[in-house]
Amino acid sequence: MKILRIFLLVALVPILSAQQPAPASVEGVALLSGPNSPVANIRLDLRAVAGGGASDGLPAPYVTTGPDGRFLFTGITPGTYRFVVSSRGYVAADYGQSRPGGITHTFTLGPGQRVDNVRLMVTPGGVISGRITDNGKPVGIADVYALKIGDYTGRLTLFGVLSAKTNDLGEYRMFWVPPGRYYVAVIIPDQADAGALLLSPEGDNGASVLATRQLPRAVLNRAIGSGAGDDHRHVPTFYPGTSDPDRAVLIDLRGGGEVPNINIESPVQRVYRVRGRVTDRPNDYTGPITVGLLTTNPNTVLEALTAQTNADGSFEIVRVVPGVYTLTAGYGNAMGRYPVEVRDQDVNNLVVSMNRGLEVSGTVTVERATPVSPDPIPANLNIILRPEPYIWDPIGSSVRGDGTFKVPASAVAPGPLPGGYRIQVAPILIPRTPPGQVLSPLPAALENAYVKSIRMGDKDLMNGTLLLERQPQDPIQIVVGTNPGAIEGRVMTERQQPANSVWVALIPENGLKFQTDHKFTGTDSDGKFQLQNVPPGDYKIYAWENIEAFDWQEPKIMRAYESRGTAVKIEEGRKTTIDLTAIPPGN
Amino acid sequence: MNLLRIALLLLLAPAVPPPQAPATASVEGIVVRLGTPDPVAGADVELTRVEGTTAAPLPPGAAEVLARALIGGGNSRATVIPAIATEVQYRKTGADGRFSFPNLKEGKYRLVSVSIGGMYQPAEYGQRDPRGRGLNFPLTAGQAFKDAKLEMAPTGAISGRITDENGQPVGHARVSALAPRVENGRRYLAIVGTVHSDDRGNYRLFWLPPGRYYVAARLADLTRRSVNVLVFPPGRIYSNDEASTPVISRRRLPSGEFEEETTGMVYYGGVLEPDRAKALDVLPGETFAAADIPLGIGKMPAWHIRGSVLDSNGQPAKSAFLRAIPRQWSPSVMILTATADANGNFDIMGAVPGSYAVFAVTTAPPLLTDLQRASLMAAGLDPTRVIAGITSELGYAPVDVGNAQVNGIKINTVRGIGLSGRVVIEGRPAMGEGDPALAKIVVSLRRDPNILYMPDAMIPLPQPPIPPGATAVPPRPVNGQVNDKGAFNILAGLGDFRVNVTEIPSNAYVKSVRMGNVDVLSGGLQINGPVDNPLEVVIGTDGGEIVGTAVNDRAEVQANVVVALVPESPLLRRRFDLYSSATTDFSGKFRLRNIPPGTYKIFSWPYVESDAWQEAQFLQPYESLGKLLTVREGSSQETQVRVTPVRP
Repeated sequence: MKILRIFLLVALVPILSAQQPAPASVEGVALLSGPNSPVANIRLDLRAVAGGGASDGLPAPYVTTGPDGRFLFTGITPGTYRFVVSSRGYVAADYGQSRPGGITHTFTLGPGQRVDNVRLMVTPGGVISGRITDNGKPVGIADVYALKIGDYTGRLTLFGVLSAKTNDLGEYRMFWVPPGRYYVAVIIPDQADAGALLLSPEGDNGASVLATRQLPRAVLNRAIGSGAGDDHRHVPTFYPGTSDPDRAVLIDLRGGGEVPNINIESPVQRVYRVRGRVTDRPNDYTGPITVGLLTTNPNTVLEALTAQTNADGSFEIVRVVPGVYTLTAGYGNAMGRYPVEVRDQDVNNLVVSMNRGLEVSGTVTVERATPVSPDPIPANLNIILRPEPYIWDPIGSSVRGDGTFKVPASAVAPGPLPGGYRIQVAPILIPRTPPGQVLSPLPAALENAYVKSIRMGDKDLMNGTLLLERQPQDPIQIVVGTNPGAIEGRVMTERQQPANSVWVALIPENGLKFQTDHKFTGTDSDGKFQLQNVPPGDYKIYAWENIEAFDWQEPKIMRAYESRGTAVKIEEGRKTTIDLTAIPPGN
Repeated sequence: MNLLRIALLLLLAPAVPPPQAPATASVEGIVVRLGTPDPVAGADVELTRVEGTTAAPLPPGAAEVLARALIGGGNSRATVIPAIATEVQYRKTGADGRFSFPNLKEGKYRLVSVSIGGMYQPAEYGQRDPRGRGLNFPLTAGQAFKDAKLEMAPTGAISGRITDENGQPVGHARVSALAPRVENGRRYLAIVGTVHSDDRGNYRLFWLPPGRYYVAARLADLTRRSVNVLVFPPGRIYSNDEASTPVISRRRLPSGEFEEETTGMVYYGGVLEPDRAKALDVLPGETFAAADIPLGIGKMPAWHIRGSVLDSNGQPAKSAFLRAIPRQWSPSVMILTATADANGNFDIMGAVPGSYAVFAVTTAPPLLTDLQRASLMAAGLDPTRVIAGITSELGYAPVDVGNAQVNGIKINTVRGIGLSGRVVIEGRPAMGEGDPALAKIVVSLRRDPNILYMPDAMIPLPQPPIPPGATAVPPRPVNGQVNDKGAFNILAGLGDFRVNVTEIPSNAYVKSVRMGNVDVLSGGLQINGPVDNPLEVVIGTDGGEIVGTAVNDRAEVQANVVVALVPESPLLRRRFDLYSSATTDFSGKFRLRNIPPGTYKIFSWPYVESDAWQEAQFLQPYESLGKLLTVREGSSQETQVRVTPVRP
């Protein structure tokens, strides 16, 4: 109700003064999320929203709530703001919502505007604590992380939200953790030293400086007998004690709650060496070439598994955890790649031959009701061939104005080596955005654009994989549509109340499911929602009363909801209307 | 090959060594818990041959690698560098704490033990204190060294609680263990470990070698994505200092005005000044509990420093980067930063009462005016050669902050201040072609106090342009590199400095450094603008030598003790170049060389932090025990010095 009223007021207040706009004020009460009890003596500030508010570049001034939880901001420069709790230990203040992790509202204050009776929900962070051991002995200065695991760019990625270090008793305590579901993992450094602590889940404002200078005063300034030499190492271990992220157990942390006894035993593992030789180096180059082992398994990515070749092209990579890897070597326009599996012994005598790779070409065709010439869309696109299964070694090329493209784009770049690839059409068909990363807005020319199909001969490459075995004869044909559909509707609770501030997500029922950023939105106070610029096709739509943002991108989490979605077809240039019932909490 | 041969021989004749084999030495011993007979099982013992003999030399290059690995940066990994692999051996102690190294070559050895997991401070054979270095001991052919004892000190911990002004717990306070370090006669508290307090305000500093510590807390800036904590495995402790931007909060008053405050560093004992901090003793294997710190007392109003910056063309230095750095050293210095606006005006927030050095860095204006050119020439610099490649300018203003806003600070930036000078080596014949010894000497400046985040003392000289037709890149000029005639130039920053003269001949010492009538060796060098007088450096070659032995009360020679030579006159006690020190070797001998002629006192202690004797407060109780020695030009004398126990 309140949100709507503010927006109306803003719309009604004309901009009168061009010089010094009359200051606004906001008055209200801070309530603890959950029990809705007033929270006394906490600091609140109004943070100007980028581009929308008035910020002088100085820290946002705070006010303190009174014994009754009430607060008053006066003298506010008109602009767009959000509330922030600046007292330590609180993770969120959200105005107009009932839960943490939900939809954050900003609001706009007009000149001279006075807003009363704001109800502000504040959420304290929680605690995850436990003990880390190696063969039952406590491990000090181990790094413990509260993690989100996401399927980004086609592989599992660990994203640390916060971290803690164990003390000499092996104990750790992560606190002020935003409520949510987490994996907990420990990394025991084999070269223990000073280390970083993840402090803020919100990211860095970039303005703060922290520099350290060291003078050795060591009795022993190097590690001897650390217990883990070149043939053993610690690997990241997930709660309850597995190095396999698929067997990790999620921890559910509530606001202000504590989940104790998250104890993890993390012993050392035997590691191996990978040795071999790089052949066919370009132009008889005998200088060092970097050879690396890339992997699809995130728990083996600890430190770069790389080595430099010797003059005869030989190399040795040490401390390799058993697993499946791709060995890569790159120099100039030549690359080498070789699949490697490390089991229970060293891998010797690999021969990695370098070559220029293959060439792939194609066209981008834009479908329009009224063609324009030149069409601005192709020149805004980039074609990327992403190895599948995923390793971080993409190859790409920009599209020319006439819609043609070729990979590699020039003679000095290497082409794709034989193998499987997913085709990306950046920036309109790209993998999921990892948390904490913000995409730049699409250029105006691409606002309505979506990828309709990607084909090579009779093969569907949008829903499938391009398998390059030899030089392909057929070009890649990409069709870009410009006539998207839309969907709107209303979400009700199971008790037939309008579901306000709940998440709605639209999941495609094709090969792009969980592969790209899916469309989502929050409902307004009447439970209404709408989504624009939806590529036509078959989808399932979901609404939840209680889900963490972006959980709908996680196959593991979505398995539980699979049957609760509603099938919906989006057609070109048409708006689909649908009413939904929100999935209640506890499902 | 050799190893293989030995293995084969052993296999063939395990009990009886062949009669022609060279006699090998051996070391046997035990690792115990400090001050007890209790064995430490499972400790890693490392034996390194650090010096060879004519009969059994070290492999080529090994001595240099060893010097780096044992003293300098070392290798951080638990692997042995191939060049010294044959000279390093490991054993693990058994349940009885015993170890044994047979078949050793003759030479000098170093013996160390380490226990995984942080419970013990590493021990070295011959150590006088768990924090001190060990002693290299000789092994002769055929010698069996039995009963080598290594005493490992269990590490300790400090725990406590950090509270705010209302007695409520403070989470994410940065809490540091501090240990004293003496430099240039001043006693600093240096950070040896930093942890964060938890949501209950509790902290625990651990793996600390037994000894005396101080503790301090300050707020961590929660706007950072990550911060560094410092916890090192025992034995790998470093002295750290830290610079960070303060956490500033602005309270919005009902009147619409703002009140700004910040929180400084608070020491255990509830004080803001390091000199008044309360010390605590960490005992082996024990936790010093309840080292609580009321962080609320560090809360204070924060003030602004405002002003403007003009570049060397006299134009507003748009977007100049400003940093205000307290001139008072602190283990965790709060630096204030700001960026000037389009008119060169700046507004630095977060200042607390005290003295600041405000530096401005701006992009150098593109063209040199005639006036500038003339002024640079006047400052002894050739603007066409030296200045062309310098892309930024530096300005400096000392600012004192009281309990009020500071306005109207004016800063002018320059590309650098040109200093020229001359070095003379006494007693050397004039060389028409120049003196190669002079051409090795480098004169450099060091900030004093050298506070973290201050700009470099010297401005790196740009690469000179490559002349047409050149076949090699001309060498980049080095600031302060002396030529074979003794002349040098320095492009200096602004502020307070000390002058270092390095790469002097091996038998020499720095006798004097003067600028005009200023004795720079005693008083340092202050540069606030163009400098008129040259820097005159005199290198003396008439230094004396003292050799001697350290003995205890029973006249027994003492190995691995500190011997320190201190100028006798209180007037010269600030001339830190006049101090010298050594550690006695296995036979209790020491040698001090290149001592500037004069009268000194000589002292000896079993173990003290390095340079502690440069601090008046430390030396005062021992003053009467110092033995007076006069060092004459080019003299050599022998003496015996009595080791004094360190007073707590």
